[in-house]
Amino acid sequence: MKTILLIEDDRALRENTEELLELSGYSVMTAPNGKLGIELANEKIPDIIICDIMMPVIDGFGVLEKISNDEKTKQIPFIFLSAKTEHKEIRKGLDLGADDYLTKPFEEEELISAIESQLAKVELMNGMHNKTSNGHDVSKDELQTLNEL
Amino acid sequence: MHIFQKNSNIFNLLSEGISEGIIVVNTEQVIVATNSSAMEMFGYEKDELIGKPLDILIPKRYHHNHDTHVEHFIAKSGKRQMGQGRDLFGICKDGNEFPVEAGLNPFELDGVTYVMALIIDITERKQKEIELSHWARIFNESLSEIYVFDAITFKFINVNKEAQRNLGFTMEELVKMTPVNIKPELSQPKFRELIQPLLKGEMEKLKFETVHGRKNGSSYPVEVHLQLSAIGDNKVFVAMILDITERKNYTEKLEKTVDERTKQLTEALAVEKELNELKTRFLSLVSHEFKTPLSSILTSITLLGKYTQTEQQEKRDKHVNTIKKKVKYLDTILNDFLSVERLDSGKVNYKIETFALSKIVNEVIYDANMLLKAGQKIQYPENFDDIIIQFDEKTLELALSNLVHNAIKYSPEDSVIDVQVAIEENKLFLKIIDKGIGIPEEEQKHIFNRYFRAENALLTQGTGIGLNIAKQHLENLGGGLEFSSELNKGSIFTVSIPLEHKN
Repeated sequence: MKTILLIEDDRALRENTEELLELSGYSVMTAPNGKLGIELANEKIPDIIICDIMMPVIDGFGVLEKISNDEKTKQIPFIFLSAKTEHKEIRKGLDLGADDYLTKPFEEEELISAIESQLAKVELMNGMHNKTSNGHDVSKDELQTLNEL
Repeated sequence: MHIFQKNSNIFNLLSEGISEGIIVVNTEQVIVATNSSAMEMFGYEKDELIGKPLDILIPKRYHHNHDTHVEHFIAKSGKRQMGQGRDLFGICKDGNEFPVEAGLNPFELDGVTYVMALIIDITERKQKEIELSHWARIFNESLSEIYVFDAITFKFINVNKEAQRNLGFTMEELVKMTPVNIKPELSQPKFRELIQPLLKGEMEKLKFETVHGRKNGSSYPVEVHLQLSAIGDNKVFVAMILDITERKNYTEKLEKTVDERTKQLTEALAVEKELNELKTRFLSLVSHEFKTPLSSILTSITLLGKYTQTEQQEKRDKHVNTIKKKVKYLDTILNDFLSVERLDSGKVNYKIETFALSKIVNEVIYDANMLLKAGQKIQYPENFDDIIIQFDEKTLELALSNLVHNAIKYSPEDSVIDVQVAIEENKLFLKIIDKGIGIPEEEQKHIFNRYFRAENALLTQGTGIGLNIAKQHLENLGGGLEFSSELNKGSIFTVSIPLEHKN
């Protein structure tokens, strides 16, 4: 079972999202602010992180910076889930190195499919890594799939 | 008549050489001799007038008068000028009249009395006189002040009536004065320097503004137009002066009006800017503050759709509650914004009612309970049911709910929020005490500014208008909102409400 770390300060939304993800078969741990989120990420090394931006103590950008500068956590796929919907804010999030950016309010399907793509990408990269370490070349098809993600 | 013919050579010699008209009449006033100048003047042919009565040369309206004059004149038998002090007219053959001056000279010849009249056509002189008197009138009656003064001594030579009237000096006084005496802002050397270009011929006209001092000590602003002129060989200055008090007043009034309008515009612009800012903030609020609660509502609805079993009723209830709570929250934010709009446009309608304080406090706390973080608790007195107040219910609710929501928002989990009620000196005090993040000391002075968010609150959702409108509404109704706060310890907000509502 894949583990998701959800960092969101709004209690109702945090609980609802957790509930939705659990119903979709994920194991979910949550944090109500950026600081606790970073601690949990370090401690538990989740398979994917879903993070709000506007949060007390440390905001989402701060979390991403910390996570991606840490050898232990930098490979974890990182998805922003934010009420900031302006183009330049989305750009900023992606430029900082987020793998995806979802805007509120979101549909269940959007969230699940974003998570699945990121997990599939990791899967593929891991597979590639295994293959290359076995001395195989990355196939054209595999590259294509990677690019499409 | 033959007498003249007899002496005609001498007469002709004498009379034809002069430009005056000569007409000689006898005592019957019959013309006996003329010269060519007279013929020309009256438009007759040579000798045509001889034997004609003198009346033929005088307009009819003067006939009677003239006869008596001449008789009188002959009786007195003296030499004299006619037409001194009154106008004399001659009439031509073609009926045209013209002004004349006549000198009468009686003489005797061969025992007969004659009168010789020397006539001068003064048409041109009269014309000039009329013109001159016309200019003199213009000069004297002009509503502009006109001054003529000597170019060397500067002494006034002539000053028109309007100038005398405005200054309050008579001509007798003015002839002893110079322009410097009536221009308190100009000294003699300064004035001399000012008019140098005119004296040197470098400029034809000089225009400047200064002040004239009246005899009574008052003064008025003037515009001076100065030009060099001459009376005979003497150089003089002619000054046309406009009293520009009205213009100055008008200019000042205009400037004042412009200032006022500019101020009004600036204010309108500020209001416009404020409204624009409000709009911008509202739009950004829609994106920030609305989207998270909307996400909660949407996810709750999605989850509700999944719980189809009766045994999942508990979960259904939870999500229905979340939806209610979030709708309520959105409603509060919207009301805050509408409140700002109403406050700004002056469209606030307060409704003073008599009600139990506990009613509003209970409502606010009931709603706030849904927003509590894990382990948070609101503590409030139970025994204030007997406090009845006269106030606007909506304002009290708005202020209280804003303060309680803030207390929840800015306090950690597992903390207590204390609501206290006290009555002192005809005032009701409501204290909302939290153990939250507090307000940094240096930012406390801004806390009631609209849209202001303290540094340590920036990452918490909020619009920065709650405290601002709560305070404004309370103060509009004679109440107040104060606070004390310590960073990382907590804040105390105190609402005060007058117990005897005036107005």
